[in-house]
Amino acid sequence: MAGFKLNLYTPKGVIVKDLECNDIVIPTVRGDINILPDHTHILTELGTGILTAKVGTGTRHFSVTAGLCRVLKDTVTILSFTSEKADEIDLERAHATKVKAQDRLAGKGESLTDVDLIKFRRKLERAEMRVRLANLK
Amino acid sequence: MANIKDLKKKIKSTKGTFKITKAMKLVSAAKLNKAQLRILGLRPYSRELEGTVSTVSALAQDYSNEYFLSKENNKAVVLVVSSDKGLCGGYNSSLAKSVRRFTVEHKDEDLKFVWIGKKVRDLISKEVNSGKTYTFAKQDPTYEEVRKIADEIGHMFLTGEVGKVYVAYNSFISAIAFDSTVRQLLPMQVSESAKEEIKAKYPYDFKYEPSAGQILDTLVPEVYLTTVYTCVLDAIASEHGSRMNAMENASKNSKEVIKKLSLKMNKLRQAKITTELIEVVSGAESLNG
Repeated sequence: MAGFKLNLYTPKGVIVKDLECNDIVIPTVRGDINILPDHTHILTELGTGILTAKVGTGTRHFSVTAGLCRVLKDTVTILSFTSEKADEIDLERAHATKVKAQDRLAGKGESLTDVDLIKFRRKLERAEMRVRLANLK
Repeated sequence: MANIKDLKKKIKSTKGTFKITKAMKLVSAAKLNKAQLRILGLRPYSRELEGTVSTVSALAQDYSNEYFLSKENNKAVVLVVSSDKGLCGGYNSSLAKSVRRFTVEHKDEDLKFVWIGKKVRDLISKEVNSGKTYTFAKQDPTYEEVRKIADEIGHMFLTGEVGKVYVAYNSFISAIAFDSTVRQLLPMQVSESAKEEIKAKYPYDFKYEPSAGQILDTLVPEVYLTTVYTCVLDAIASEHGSRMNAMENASKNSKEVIKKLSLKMNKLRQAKITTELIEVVSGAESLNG
């Protein structure tokens, strides 16, 4: 089965380039989508979540946050604001952030403004994703 | 003619200069390395982003965004990204030259200049309509800091205060080369010929999730921000590259000067010894005689 190529770029650098894979699950704002070879051309907004790519017989996981996904011919290009590989995650830190964000959202500490509320919700979302990602290793 | 003592002093001071320039070169090399990694990491991202937006804007029918609309306004703002420190060769003067040429070419526009880095500002602020200077907390700006500046300038454009936004910066090519350019940021331009080219290249449309308009609405400001960020990182990388080169040349020159002065000093010293020897020998001769 012919595979396709995955490119994952962030402002901080190239995470993967021309990675041959044959199955990708991408988190978008409207839920996960699964890309198989010969997929139609799509352009969609990324959500926060875990991107799973099947490479040969193995599987690789990456975290992605807001960005863009483009499927064009046999290339999938992901532009994400940040991205991490599963083995780069600092589990302890992710746990600490998760607990902290949960505490703040539960009303401990200073009262939250609307901006803070969104900020901590996002923080919690990212921390939870990191914990999940680290456990997938 | 200089005497030995003077020459010794001169050699000593040149050696001091040599040490400083060498150290500065090493520091710049380390910084360049870091800056280079940053800009080279960012470039693929910004290129893809820009490419996607121009493709989508060409393919999507009847889409327009505020960032694309040209305004009936003669005012324009130019963001000049230079360095805060000197000793980096032709880095700032070359940019100043480009900016001067740009002002001549755009005489009919009411240009206002805002600055990052004070060197070019000091060079040309008297000749132009000079505005605010932006500074960063540390030498390496964060994405957030650049975002604030970009937002402020973008706001001027969106409210119609200015009709165009330009940025002048040194684009990084390699450690020894940079290119001083002035480019238009807003309104974003996709020329008709480029549009046709894209349409020919992609005879099919994409499937958009959510709609093309919605995607573009979030993407276009992102492209603008990323472009500004790229320019700033470009400027920083070329500054370090340029400084490294300047310091390398300075080290080379001071080494040469030290060599020349030492030769001169040794010649003088030898001449002095010879004279003294002759005096001693002729003194002994006269006693013998």
